[in-house]
Amino acid sequence: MTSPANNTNPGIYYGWYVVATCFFIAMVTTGARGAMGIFVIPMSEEFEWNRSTISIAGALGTLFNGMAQPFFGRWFDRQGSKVIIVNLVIVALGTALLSLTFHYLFLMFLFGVVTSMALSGASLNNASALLARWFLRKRATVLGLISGGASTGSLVLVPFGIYLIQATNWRITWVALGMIIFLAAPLALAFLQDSPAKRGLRPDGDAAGPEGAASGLSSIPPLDTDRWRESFRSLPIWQVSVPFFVCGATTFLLAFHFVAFAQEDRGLSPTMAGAIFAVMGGMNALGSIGAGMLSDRFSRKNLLALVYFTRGSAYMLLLVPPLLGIPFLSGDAGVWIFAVVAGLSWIATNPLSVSLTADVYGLRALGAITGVSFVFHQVGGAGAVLLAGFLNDVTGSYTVPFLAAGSMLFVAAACAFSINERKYSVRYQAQPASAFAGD
Amino acid sequence: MSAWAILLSAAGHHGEAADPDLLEWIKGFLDHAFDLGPWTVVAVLGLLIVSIPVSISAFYLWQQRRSRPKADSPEDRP
Repeated sequence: MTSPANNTNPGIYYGWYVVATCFFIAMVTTGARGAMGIFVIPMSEEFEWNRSTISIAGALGTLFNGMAQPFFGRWFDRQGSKVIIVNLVIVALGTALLSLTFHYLFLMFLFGVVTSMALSGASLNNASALLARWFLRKRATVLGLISGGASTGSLVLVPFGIYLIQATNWRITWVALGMIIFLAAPLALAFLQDSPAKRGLRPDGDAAGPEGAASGLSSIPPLDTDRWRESFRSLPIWQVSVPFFVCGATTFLLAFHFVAFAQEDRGLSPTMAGAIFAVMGGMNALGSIGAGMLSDRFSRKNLLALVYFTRGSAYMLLLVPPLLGIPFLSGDAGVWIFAVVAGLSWIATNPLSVSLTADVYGLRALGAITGVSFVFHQVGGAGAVLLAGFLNDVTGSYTVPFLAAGSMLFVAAACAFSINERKYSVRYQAQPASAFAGD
Repeated sequence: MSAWAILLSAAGHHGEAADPDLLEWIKGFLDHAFDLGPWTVVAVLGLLIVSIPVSISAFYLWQQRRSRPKADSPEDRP
């Protein structure tokens, strides 16, 4: 059998195998991570821990995962796909070894530090940076697909884990999840290649020819850099990262406070609130894939602005009708409409922001630049959750923090809309003015 | 509200641990909707997961085999 890595047969463009592999990696790593919640009750019962003990491990994991992204992104920029493969194996082994948990410090170290940091290496950020090398015209489409893979992972692996615990126990379930993650390692070893050039191919599978001749695109953007610090001396990365801060704030707010808001402010039952939140999560993949595909046809910054504007409008639709006394939208229907619209926009910002960053700053430091942008996202999220809790304590409702979040989204939309994509994006270099509609 | 709880609130958006109460609700919903035994659900979902890398590899090999006869066709030989 010829190794996939050495094969140069014609047929389907090899980049699609890289996409499929990254989809599976995102699916199993994110899904197994999301399944942590199913271990809270059985592990707490066996070790007589309270819930906050396991929550600390989860929180440590969020912290280490977020803060490690720029460093692992930089490592990826230097070493390429082997960073993803090595860290994938560490995540798989670490997950399986969680079956040996005997003390909460073991759990905190292995889950909170080791697997969380390794997950930064096998993250969506690095997979996105890799795929940006393989695709130029379909860049956001493929980034949307792998973001959708991450959502699909939770939909599949969380129920898998729930029922495996019921059928066996939590130790076997950790081993099974580790083995599932490990399934991705040989696939990654076989199919992940650092760039199309290494296989004698061109981005998007275009025919060989002079630089940019096949696609009509230049491959070097005006602000191309190999240092992330340099990118932050120019305006566009701030116009992407500041809205990404708002993205983190408005999605963390929903993740942490929405169910409480639905019950306390809108009087919904816990079951209904949970169902609405689950629907919101289910809409993620659709929104991410749809936004990616659209942005490869239209201006990315306009779509990014539209996503923020839509999410802001959803927030207003949730909050304003009860204040104005509009009966239909003040009840369950208003919350359901909000769940669908907000859910569609939930992860849609990710493929748009990353592909726009790649289009403006090139590929040499993309892992590090998107890693730093991701820190903006996490800081915005943590700050918003803290502030919302404080304002809820002071005012007795979530109206003020939710209104503030909704308002910030319109600022984010304006910020994204103001990006001069035509001047800075590689998509508009050596390209007829009418090539991308809607700008 | 603890700082840990705030950090944990990344739930769902970037693959952090989901709320155990929500997961209980999801399990109840699935039990009610499908009424299947736990091993049946594990087997179905396990097969679904394993089928993805197997399908990718099989498709690659099929493509490779499909394109090979063209390279070896009589017209290509000297």
